[in-house]
Amino acid sequence: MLHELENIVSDKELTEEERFEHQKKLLALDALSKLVGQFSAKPDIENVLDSLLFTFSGQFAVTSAFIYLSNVNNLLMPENYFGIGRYKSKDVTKYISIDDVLTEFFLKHNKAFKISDLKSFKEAENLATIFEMGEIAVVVPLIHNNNLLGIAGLSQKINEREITESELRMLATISQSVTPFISNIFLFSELSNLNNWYHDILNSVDQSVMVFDEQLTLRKVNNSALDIITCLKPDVNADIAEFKFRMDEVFPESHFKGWLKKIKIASSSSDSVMLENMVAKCNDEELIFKVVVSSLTNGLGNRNDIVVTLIDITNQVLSEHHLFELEKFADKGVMASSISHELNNFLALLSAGVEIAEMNIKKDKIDKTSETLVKLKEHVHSMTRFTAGLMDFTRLNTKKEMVNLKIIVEDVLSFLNVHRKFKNLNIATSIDDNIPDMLLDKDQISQLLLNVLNNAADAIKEAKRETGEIVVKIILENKKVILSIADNGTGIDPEVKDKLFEAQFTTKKDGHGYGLVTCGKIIKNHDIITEIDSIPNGGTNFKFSIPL
Amino acid sequence: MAKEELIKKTINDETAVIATGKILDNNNAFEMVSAITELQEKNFKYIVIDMNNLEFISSAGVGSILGTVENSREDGGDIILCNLSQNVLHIFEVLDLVDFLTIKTSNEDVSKVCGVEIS
Repeated sequence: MLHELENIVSDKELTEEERFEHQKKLLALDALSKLVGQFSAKPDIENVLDSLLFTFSGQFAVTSAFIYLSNVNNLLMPENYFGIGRYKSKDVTKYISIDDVLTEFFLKHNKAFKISDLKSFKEAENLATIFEMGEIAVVVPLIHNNNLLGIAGLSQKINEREITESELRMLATISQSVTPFISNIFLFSELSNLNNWYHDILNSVDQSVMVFDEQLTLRKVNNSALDIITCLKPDVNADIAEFKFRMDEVFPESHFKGWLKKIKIASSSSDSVMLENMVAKCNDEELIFKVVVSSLTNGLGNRNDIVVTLIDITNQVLSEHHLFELEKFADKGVMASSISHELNNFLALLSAGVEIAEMNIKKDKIDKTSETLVKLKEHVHSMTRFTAGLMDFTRLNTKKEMVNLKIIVEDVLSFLNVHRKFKNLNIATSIDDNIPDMLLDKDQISQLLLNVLNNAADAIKEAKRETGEIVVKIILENKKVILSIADNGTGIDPEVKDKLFEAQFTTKKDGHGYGLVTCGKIIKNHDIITEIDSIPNGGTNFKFSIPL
Repeated sequence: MAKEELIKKTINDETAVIATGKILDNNNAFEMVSAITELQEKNFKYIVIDMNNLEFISSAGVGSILGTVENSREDGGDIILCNLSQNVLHIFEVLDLVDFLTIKTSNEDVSKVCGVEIS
């Protein structure tokens, strides 16, 4: 190959020595062209700089060489030192610093130096001394556009030969030829880091971002978008970093009727366009998205990328739907479900009371029967008050009097004990002796207790406990009375806990949550502070602190 | 230019052979260094580089050998180049490395250096 290159360069008759020199230069040219090729392709920085060092080694017959890039802050690379041979493991630049004086010196003398010659320059004396100790024989600055990127150094030539002036010039030429490319490495590195940074930012947002090129082929997605694509297209291998789906494959007509056309039309606008309510089915779940379509031009203005952002509004829509339903009820002024729920509670008490009365009659216990009938009358009275007051979400009729919480609890429990729902449950009470009378609406507190006990029984049933247990406690603590109801049911999810007394909230399959909303009102009417301790599948403890 | 594959072969505990492809240049110099370094780390004393197929070696290709030879020599071993064509040998002559590197023209001569039969 050398002979072929020779013929291109010269057909002059050369001496043996001239031929060797010539061929050496040809080898250098060949090396340079290959280096340029390597630098120009997407460079693996370490490989490319090592390649340069190997070239120095072979071309100048040295066993060791290094490159030190001094502008490391701009480089954003983990390494700024590259070495081969003896200098591979030993960072010979550890003790040097390229200060302004040295930089000025090298910018002024952009050439290769023997260390022995470098020593004669005051500005570089220190550097030369350190390099001499490290057995470095030659140094060349790497300069591009009047910026010192770093320096390269070579060991002594093999067999202790001296590097020639011609070789020094060749070294300088090769170095000067590649510094533009080394400078590009900075750019490549920064671009790569920028690219990673942008990708990290894209992945940090919840919205799903998809970038299509002007051929409508998917070019880039963030993690959120990848989740949606793999959900909608389960056969896609999510490990593939890049896949070339067309837009009609991402939004097929069979699943997204009319949407491809909408997106295409929206992409022709110079402004971002928001499209409402794209519905997609994913794992038997219906997802609803807002779609934002924007088009981007590249810096040259000759390419349009289309950015499609999907914003998941499924939960928002469902909440709005619930709210709408609530408002419908409010508008119509009909709280049928709420009322029927509360009536059911009262009816439970009445039914239990009737059963007790029947039992007592059979046993000829007239006094007991009378007692029961009195209690029944009270409950009917409460019901009447309830229906007369039109229990809705905006007001409860409140009539407070001095009553003892202990009596209210005992009354409610005595009736519930015979109710089918509570028959197989162990209901224990623990009531302090010194509970004072308090200003309470007896009916409302009964309702509150009834609702919580009802839900406790349901939770225990759902948990399928062998022994269902409810513990009702009343204690006096500082200036309040604490009523707690603990059960060993299914427990409440932490997300649910906070919403328990709000809006139309229920976790029951056929529930509606109005009962607990009423409780919310009762709690508010009595300035009760509520704490709920609950662990999913670990039971629940409602704690109501009622101020004296 | 496609990378040329290197083929490695173990002769015994001390000697291994790396056979080059047609070209050893910037594109595969790194692989050559990795191959040599790997064998040195496994304590192979003699690393024979069979250049039977080699048509051209660039400065970088030469440097990949030059940058690793001292490691072997410090451990009492060597890197031996063998079966060089005239063209390839000429390149080593141009770069004035013939006296420094151990270059053998035949497997027989290599065997004399490392004491084993190289086929």
